[in-house]
This record gives sequence, C-alpha cells and structure tokens, in this order.
Amino acid sequence: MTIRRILYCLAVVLLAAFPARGKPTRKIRVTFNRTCEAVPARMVLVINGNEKILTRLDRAGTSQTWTATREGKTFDAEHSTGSLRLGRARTDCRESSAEEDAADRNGPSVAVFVFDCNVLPASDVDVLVAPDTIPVRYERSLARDTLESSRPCSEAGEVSSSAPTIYDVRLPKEKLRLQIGDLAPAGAPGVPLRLSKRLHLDRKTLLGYQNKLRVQGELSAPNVSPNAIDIDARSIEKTGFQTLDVTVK
Amino acid sequence: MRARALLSVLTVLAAAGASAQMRPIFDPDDFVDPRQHEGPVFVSRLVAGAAAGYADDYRPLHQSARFLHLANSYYRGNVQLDYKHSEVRAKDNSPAEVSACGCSEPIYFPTPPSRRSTPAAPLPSRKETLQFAWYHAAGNGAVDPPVMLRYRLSWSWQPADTVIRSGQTGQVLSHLSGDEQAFGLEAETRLRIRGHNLFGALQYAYTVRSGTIDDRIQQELVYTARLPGTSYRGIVLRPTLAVGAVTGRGAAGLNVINPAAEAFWHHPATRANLHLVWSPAATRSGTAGWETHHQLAVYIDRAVYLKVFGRRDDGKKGEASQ
Repeated sequence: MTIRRILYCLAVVLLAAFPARGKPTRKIRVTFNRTCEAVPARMVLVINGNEKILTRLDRAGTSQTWTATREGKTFDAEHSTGSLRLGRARTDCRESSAEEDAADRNGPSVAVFVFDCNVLPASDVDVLVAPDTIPVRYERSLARDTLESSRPCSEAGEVSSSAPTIYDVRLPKEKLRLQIGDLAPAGAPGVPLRLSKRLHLDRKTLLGYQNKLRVQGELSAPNVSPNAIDIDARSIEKTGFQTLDVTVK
Repeated sequence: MRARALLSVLTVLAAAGASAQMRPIFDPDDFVDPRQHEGPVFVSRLVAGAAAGYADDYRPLHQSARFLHLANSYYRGNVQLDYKHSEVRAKDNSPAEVSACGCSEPIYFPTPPSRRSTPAAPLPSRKETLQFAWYHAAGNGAVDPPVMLRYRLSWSWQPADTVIRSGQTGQVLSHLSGDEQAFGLEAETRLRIRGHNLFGALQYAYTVRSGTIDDRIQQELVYTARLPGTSYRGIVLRPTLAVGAVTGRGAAGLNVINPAAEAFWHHPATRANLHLVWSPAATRSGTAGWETHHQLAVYIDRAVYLKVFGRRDDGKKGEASQ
C-alpha cells in the first residue's frame, strides 16, 4: 500500500469521524424586511466575503423574495455573512439563518438572508495593472452600520485585464486595498487606495505613495523609515510592476 | 508609594505597547512592519551629516558637531535586532581636559555644572548601541487590519575619559577612564479617538556616567506624540511632540517639552535619503529655569548593504545588493 493510499484512507476516516460543523448548503433565499420601491433587475449575492463566486439571484414572480443555488462549495446555512450588489448600490453585510426547505424536507437547509433596502450610491472601480501578468487581489471593507443585524464586511476578490471592475463600492466609507503580485507577503494588508476620481501610479510614484501612507500612520506610528522604503523598492523591482491605473466610474 | 508608581508605569507600558527613545538626532527611523517582508532582512545603513547646537539626551553640547553613524538592523518575524556605531566629532572632543588646583580637596576647572543644573553632555566620541525590538499587532476595529506597535530595549555605551592637568604646570596628573551607559525602553502606543488612531511612544531611559569628575545618573520618562505627517512634491514632513520629566537637574515634574519636525526626501535613483531635522527643546533646571535649545541637523543616509532573504514562493535563497 503506497503512502498516498494510506493518507487517503486516513483522510476518509477523519472526515467520517469529524464531519463538517454547521448546516452545509447551496440553497439561498433573499428577502427585504420591507417593500423596496426600486428593485434592480440584476442582483448578486456575495457570501462570506468571497467575491470570486458571485451568485446571481432570481426573483420569484413579483414577490419580494429572490432565490439562487450557489455554485462551487457548500457554505453554512447558519451564521454565514452575505451582502448584495445592486448595480451602483450595495447593502451592508447580514448574517444568514437556516430554514427548512418546504419542497425538500429531507434535503439541505436554505440559507435565508434578510436585508434593508439601500439607496446609498456606490461606484464601480476599474483597476488595471501593467504588466497584466501580475495578479491583483483586492480587499474591501465596510464597517457595520447602526442596525443591530448589520455585520462588519470584509470581502475580497481578484481583478484582471479582462475583468478589471470592482462593483458597487460605497466610497468613501468603504475602504479598498490592493495586493499587487508579491509587493507584500501573502496575507499582509494590501496597498490602501485613497480614491477621488483617478489614480495613476508608476514605479516611482508608487514608492512615493507608500511613503506618504507610512508618514500618515495608517497601520503603524507615522514614520519615515529608510529601511522600509528600501524593502518596498526591492519588492516593486522584483514584482516587475510598471503602472497602476484606478478609475472610479 | 514608590512600588505603586512603578506598577503604574509598568501597567501603562503593558497596556499601551512600547516604544523608548534615547535616539540621537541623526539615527534614522528603522521601523519595518513585519507584514512588509516574508523572510528575514538585514540592512546596513551609513549616515553622515552635521548638527548645529548638538544635544545628547536633553543635555546641550554647546557646540556644533559632525557625525558618522553605521546602523545594522536585522529583521526576522516580529523581532528586530540592531547594532549601531556612531562617531561624533566637534571642536572639543573626548577626552575632556580639566585643570586641578592641587589642593587636598581637588577643585577642577572648568567646574562641572551643579547638581541643580542641566548636566553637561559627554564630549563627542564613539558610541556603541545594541537594541532588541519586538513588534506586536493590535486590534484596529472590526474590519481594518491590525496596527503594528514596536517595543524596544536599548543599551548604549560611550567612553567619557578625562585628562587632569596641574593648574600650575600643565603637567598631566592623572587620566580618568570613565564611561557613560544608558538603558532604555521604548513602547509605542496607540489611542483610538473617534475612529482615528493617535500614535505615540512612551520612553524610559536610565543613564549613568561613572569614572569622571562629574558622575551623574539621569532618568527620563518622556511621551512622544507621533503626529501624522504629510508630503509635498516627494518631500515628506513629519512632526513630533515630546513631553516628560528628566531627573538630575534640580527641577522635579514636567521639565521637557520638545516639539520637532523632520523633512525627508528620498532620491529613488541613488536610493539616498536627505533629512533635515529641527528640534527646539525647552528644558527646565533648578538654577536656570526654562531654557530653549535649538538643534538643527542635516544628514544623508544610504543602505550600504541590503539583503532580503529568500521568500518561500520563489525558492531563492536571497538577494544582496548595494
């Protein structure tokens, strides 16, 4: 018996002994807690901050209920967080509750998300990095609003030259950070974007932009550390970064 | 009572994070957020420049000085180790030369400052410094990444030799081989006010000079507010404000108020940095009351060696340059 086979058997035994906690599902139901006057034709749900998987919702007739089946892996029907992209508007994050599926009582539960109508404007943000072979990951965060059911939003996804848009960003309250290739180690906070309308950075100005953020003291005491600058310069050089263009639409 | 005071200080240090100073005016910032590098980093940096009205730990030298400083920093994970060597030179350098009257109870000329006065700074010489720092990530609200605070221990040593000559003949009577050592703790702090961070550093330093004709002990407890800076056309401006108390000068309580501003310019092509620092320190002593002393330093620094050890993702062992 090969080692690979032994490991496989061990994994099967472990999975059987310690099943995943929660109520795994792909079924989704979204409602609003009051009638919304203007409901967009296209609504997309982001679950657990993962913007790589956008779940398009279908309206059940003219009701205030939308349903969907999520692609990819299952998620916990209970205590998952979700937020809606409404097309130039977005919701805050809410926690799901699990409900039995009336049409399939023996099947998985339905994750039910209840949102408030939201008309606060949001913008689409295009991000283009040259060369386009550099992977760009973004993180977006939105503090919880005053409602008790609101949850802090921390969501992430990727942009590329073929799909450069981050949808429905509620600027300036919502914060955006970019992880450009290996500019910083995996898991480190990305470069925060201070956006007005356009931002263009090349190698030299990116270094200046990072220095400016450092002296403003965003994630540490304000400093002008030459060692930090040299490490940044080395990372920019090594990544092969040329330009970054960000446009708020 | 003393134990309670000590406990209060330790509580503040523990609660707030840590950041202690004792830094000469020409020692560049060396904070590197551990999230900025994956593998260890070693940087050797050379600093050269001059300062008008040079002061050493709130003790004016009463002369201008030029300096050469080599800072070696090693960063690994949340730990930073430093070895720094400084050479400061002025018109009058160490060893100090004094005349003695030859009396049974010797009287020295020039006479050292009284115990109620601001002590004289040790005359310029070399200085060796070892530092150990630890970085700690602290919460920053529900959705923002944590802030990084640094806690640092420092030890520095410099010779403070004295040549004693006869007041009558000028003949060397004796040679005192003294030194000055300083132990410091620096704790960076963060206060969150209405969703905004106010950063600072609480610094404690214990400085002892021995083997001289003016042996002294100085303790300092200073809080430095590190205010957000700004930049204009690539020139970065950073203000700080230090307030605190220094012992050994006949004035109890708050006796140091030290605003400072640093202008910094990085030249990308040469990777050199130009610093201009203005530090007007108002200090109070028992004999002179409040006095303001201006330090103005200009210096250039550049990494002479930088090695970023291999990242896990590319498998390279590391790169050296410069």
